[in-house]
Amino acid sequence: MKHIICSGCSFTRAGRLNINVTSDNFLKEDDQTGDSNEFNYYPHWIQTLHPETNVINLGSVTNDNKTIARSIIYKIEKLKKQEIPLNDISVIVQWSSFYRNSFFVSPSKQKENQKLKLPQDRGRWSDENSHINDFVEEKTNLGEHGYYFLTGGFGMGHVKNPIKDFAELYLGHLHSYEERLLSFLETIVMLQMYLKSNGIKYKMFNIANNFSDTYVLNCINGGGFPDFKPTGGKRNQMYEIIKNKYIPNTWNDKMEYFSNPYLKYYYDMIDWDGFWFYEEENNHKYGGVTEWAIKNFNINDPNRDVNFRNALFMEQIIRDNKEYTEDNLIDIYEDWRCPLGHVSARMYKLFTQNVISKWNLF
Amino acid sequence: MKHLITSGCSFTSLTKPNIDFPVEIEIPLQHKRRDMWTWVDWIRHYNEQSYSVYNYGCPTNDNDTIVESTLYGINKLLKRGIPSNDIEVIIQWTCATRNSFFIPNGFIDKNKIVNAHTNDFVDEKRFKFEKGFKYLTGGYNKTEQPAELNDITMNYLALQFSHHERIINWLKNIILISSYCKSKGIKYKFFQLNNNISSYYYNRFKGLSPKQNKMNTEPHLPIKEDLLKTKDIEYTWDDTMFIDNPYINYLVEQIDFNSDFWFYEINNHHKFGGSLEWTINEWNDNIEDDSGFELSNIVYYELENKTEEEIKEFFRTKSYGHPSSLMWRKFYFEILKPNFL
Repeated sequence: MKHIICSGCSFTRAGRLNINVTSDNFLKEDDQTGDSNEFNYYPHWIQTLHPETNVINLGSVTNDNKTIARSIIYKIEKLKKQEIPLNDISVIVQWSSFYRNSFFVSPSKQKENQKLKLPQDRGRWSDENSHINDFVEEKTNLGEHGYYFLTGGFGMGHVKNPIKDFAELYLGHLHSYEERLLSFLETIVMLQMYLKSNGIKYKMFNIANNFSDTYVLNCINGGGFPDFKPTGGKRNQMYEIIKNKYIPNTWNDKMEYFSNPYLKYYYDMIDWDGFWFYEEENNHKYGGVTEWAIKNFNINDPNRDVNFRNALFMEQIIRDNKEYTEDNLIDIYEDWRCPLGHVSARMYKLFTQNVISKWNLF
Repeated sequence: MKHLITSGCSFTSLTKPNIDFPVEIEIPLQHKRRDMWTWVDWIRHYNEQSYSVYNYGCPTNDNDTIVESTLYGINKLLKRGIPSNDIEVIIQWTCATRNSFFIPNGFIDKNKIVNAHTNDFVDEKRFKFEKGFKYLTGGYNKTEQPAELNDITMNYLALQFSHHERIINWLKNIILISSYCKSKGIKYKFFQLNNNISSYYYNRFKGLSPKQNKMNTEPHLPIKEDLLKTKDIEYTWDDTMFIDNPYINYLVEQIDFNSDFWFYEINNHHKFGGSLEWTINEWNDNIEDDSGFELSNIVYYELENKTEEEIKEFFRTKSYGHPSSLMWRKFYFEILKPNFL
């Protein structure tokens, strides 16, 4: 049997790994969310469309890329101990935004400061353990062997854990696109080397474009994304996304930051054949699943799976029995919000059928 | 001709790569003070015909920067068309507890930045720090750098630093460089500044506050006036490795400590030792110097021209020094030549 390990952030799983969800029971767990099957992400669809495989879902919300890579290596080492042949393992990595970071909070640090200890609430939608990843399985209590504090997009106002004081200090004094890219590239290289040296097939894709200048240089802005509308455009971003399938033009981006020699050598070491990118001639290079979803969303698709919301993003919920139409999707958008959401179940089914299933992993 | 890339901390170079000296241009060794020679200089001296040596060692380096500069050096050689099987790597790992932060150009007022605790190892620059630099914590001492850099170090130490997270980071570095070298067919071998592995060193640690003694984060040989006579290096023979923790264990299991590392061992007494333990235990006052360079028979570089009383004072107050040129020469003949080259 082929074991397909998937990992990523909330674009791979709506839960916290080994806090309130497990890696092997996700079909059942996700059906118990009270929101039917709208949390069917690509691992769901791989499992249902390829029932001969065993999908292991390590995705965990708010994850940064370092934690994504480490949780994958941890799980593979576990499978090795179970004597699973390495050529029966494949890995799909959904990289999160490159500008995220994480900090390991050790048991000794928790002894020094009791407030760093984790609440033991494992509720699926509890906010108590937001921004936490505790991916090891060998534990009785949360955080007993330490845990990763995840910065996510640095919106930490709701977080009670005092490690956020350091995260905010880091954000103010150290965070830069250069040091985040350095860390991201190192993480990619390390994981690729590990997988190659173990003879494990893999494919990597991004939550959204993580490499083009247009995106990277925007990471210092609050949302971390460039505008999804033409310069000077009068319509709001959701109108442009839904009606015109607008995504930023990155075709001629020079990726100037990689000329920095502190980044260039890592860039040169990456095996780019291990990546899938959304690409559209003369418009977009280095796109991720978000750009793919925008470009491939067709509300009038006659073959779409009618069991799922006819939406582009998971967050687009039309209430009061109104129809899912382009105009209604645009109407519910509020201008102050980031226009991008999580790829919907309906779109992830298409992504799995049309993109992932073609990868040489099965 | 083989191409050897070396990296480490001040045990590998007492000056800064691509700041104090160019890495790619081999300055003749006779221009370098012989009392400042490290193990790398002795490799160069005795292997001029067989090795081109590129030394990325830098004082205060942490293990992140050691790996980054090594990968940078490998990448440069590969781009020059050097076949990977003509490249070799020797890394001297520094204290696992150190850390570093990348500071981009423009982040801090460049007129306020001084050299202390920095590494700017790239050579594609018109002036120092043009492309950014690594800010090195070293032993977490306050430096003459701008307050914002000192604040980062001190707050990191108080709010985030732990042996667990530092061990995880070091193991990540070992896995990264060893798997990269393996994938390219590059011969590599490691040794440590000091024992960073035996659980003794971590289990005796009882927490840290910003006001606490920084010795908790640096090499920890006993501070004893008569250490050179007693040579009572800690007993670690029965110790396990690191700290038993699932966030650490899966990383440890991936590393081939037997073949990738050289360790100094004293049978039934010390395991997982590094060059520092070797230096203390192997030094004696009858070491022969047939180098022709009239090297002083001192254990540490810092003890050159010191009186007996000053030497006693050194051992009363300091937990370690840097091996002398004579000791590094001995290290070359007894350890590096048979095990690394």
